[in-house]
Amino acid sequence: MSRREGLTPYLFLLPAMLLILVWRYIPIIAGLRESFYSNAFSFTGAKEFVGWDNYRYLFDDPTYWESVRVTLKFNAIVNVLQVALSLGLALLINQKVRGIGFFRTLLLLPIAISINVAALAWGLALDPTYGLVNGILERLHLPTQPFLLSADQALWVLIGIVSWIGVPYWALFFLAGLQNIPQEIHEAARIDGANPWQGFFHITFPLLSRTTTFVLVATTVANFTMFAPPYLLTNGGPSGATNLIMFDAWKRGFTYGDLGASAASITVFLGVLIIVVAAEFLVFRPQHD
Amino acid sequence: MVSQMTRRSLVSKAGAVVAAGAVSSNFHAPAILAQEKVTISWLTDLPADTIVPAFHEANPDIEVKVESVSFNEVFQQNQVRLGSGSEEPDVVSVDAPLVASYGLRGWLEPLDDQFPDTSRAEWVDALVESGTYDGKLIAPPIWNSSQLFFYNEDVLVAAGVTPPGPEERWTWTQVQEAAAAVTQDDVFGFQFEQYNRIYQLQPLPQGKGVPVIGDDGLTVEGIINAPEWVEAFDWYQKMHNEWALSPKGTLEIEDLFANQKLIMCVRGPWAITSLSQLDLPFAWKAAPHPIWEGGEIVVPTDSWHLGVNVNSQHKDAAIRFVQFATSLEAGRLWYEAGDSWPMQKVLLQEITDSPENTEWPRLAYPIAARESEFATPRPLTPGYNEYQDILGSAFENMRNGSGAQEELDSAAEKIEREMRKYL
Repeated sequence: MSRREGLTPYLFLLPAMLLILVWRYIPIIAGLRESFYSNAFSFTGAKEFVGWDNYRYLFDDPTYWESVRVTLKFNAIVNVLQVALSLGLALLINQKVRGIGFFRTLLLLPIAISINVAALAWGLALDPTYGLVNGILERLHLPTQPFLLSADQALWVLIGIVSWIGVPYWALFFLAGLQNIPQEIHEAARIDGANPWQGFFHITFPLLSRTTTFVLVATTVANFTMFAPPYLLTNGGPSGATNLIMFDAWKRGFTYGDLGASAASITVFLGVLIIVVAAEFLVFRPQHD
Repeated sequence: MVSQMTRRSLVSKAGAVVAAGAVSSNFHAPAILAQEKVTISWLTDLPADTIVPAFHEANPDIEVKVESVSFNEVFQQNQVRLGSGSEEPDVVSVDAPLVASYGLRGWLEPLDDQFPDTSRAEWVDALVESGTYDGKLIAPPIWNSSQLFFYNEDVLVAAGVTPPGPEERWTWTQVQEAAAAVTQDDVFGFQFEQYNRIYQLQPLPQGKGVPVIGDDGLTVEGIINAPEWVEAFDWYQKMHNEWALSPKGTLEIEDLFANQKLIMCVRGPWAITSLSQLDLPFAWKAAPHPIWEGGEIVVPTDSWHLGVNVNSQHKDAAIRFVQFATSLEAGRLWYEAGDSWPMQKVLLQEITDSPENTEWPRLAYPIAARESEFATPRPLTPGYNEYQDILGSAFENMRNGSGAQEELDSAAEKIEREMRKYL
């Protein structure tokens, strides 16, 4: 291979690398730098180097720790739920029965709706006084619910809304993974007397491990960085019950004007996210070639 | 108060274009028209078309480029762009309570020389106060607002309640009793238009004679959780929960009122115009803002203010636009288009004396004009965003059942913590 040919792949990669550099790495470095500065309240508008002050301020704030707790709880539930349900959905719509195309379309339809629109539509449907859902509950003589107005229910409602879109979306990846498993392997297992459960646990699931790892990591990143539902529906409430870390950081920066604390929060968050994702890769990495 | 204004922007446009041709301006074009045209930018969510054509006509050497954004985006973009030292926007829309915050950060050009005391004396005093930081006028007001008590007369009368007359000021207890008489199923008695914002809720504690922030503009501990505050918001909490006379959730007050799902509400004078345009199938009227029995009359006011970006490259042109926007001509244009309530005392007197305003619904205009006498601005503090946001969450939690004392104690602690950065 000539030297020129050796360079070719890198030339093709260059535009993407440049975009990633501009839109990802430079903002990360700028955010890291910002986390060590604070607004100097003067007519110069200059920034002041404050060392670790923003981090100390953040770690001393009970609201921040409450936000961390809510974010971890949200992710511990939503990621497992989305992976399990999307795998289940993919198994269902992978069946070769008459009219499956129609059901696939129906179940995958929520993907076409943006999270912002879905959040607002669900927000209207779940309005405790005038919403559709409580209207149905009333008709069925069941007790009406406060939904997003209850500190006990709001986080679960957000989990439901993001999963309404997330589950069919991630199911698409599982569906692609399932269709890549050769039918001959399933047939051989059946001939050897394996029942459907054994087939799933010993053939399907192991052969889906690459897809599972990808979906788990991708849902983790998507859900850790979730912002729109609390912004559009709850403003982080009631009583901080939906104050996810991205929303909390945004509020510190753009409502309270404290960009330093906001950047510190995001920097810590990025570090934690890298650790979580690395752990997922380590634990769930494919055991087969 | 201002978020409602934008919905009338379309209605205002036709009137503004006609009015622009007729207006006689004090702001004449410079003698040398051949000079290069200066373009200035104005970031706003307001119906700019109501005054910009008139300004262009009177000032052909200046082009105003309007950057129309949503209500919330005004705050965010100001924060990011002014905070980064940007030269644009040249003209900055500032919500009244943020004047101190922008002043502290040095984002706006002081305008004392351009607006002498004599011109400021023509404006409602509370608004001059709102536009001033550290003794300097940095953002003159362009609008005004005074809140009124609106009610569905037909429903009140049918429930055996005698509604207040145009001069009669109800107490909150009367409001509560009337609300109890009309509330049933999904029909509620009373709600504030801005049910979780300090702007319309501050008369509750302030009407009991206590302040909403310390004299230093930073202290809240012992103030927002004082017994009078707790008592006031205990009433507010019970209206939403124990007595269930006020609706919960995210509300569109105008829609609820128009559909007779809400019978009484507190709203700004913009509601007079918008309700009139709806041609509702029931009689609605307005009365002065309610008070506590034996309490002080507190009527929330405030407005958008306009400032000049301290880093603007076209300060002179920007100042001329701000001068025009605060003029009688502009005040009249906005009022006639139904966009806003004027901040000039002369115009308020004209509204009070006008023979056109003697029958409903226009009779509500003189009531609003007279209420300007009790105009009270929002707290003047560099940390208004923090103050409003944290209190807003506390109000929302109270609406959903949390106790007033617990929520106000927690809010005081959080606000004090955020205010430390301004010490």
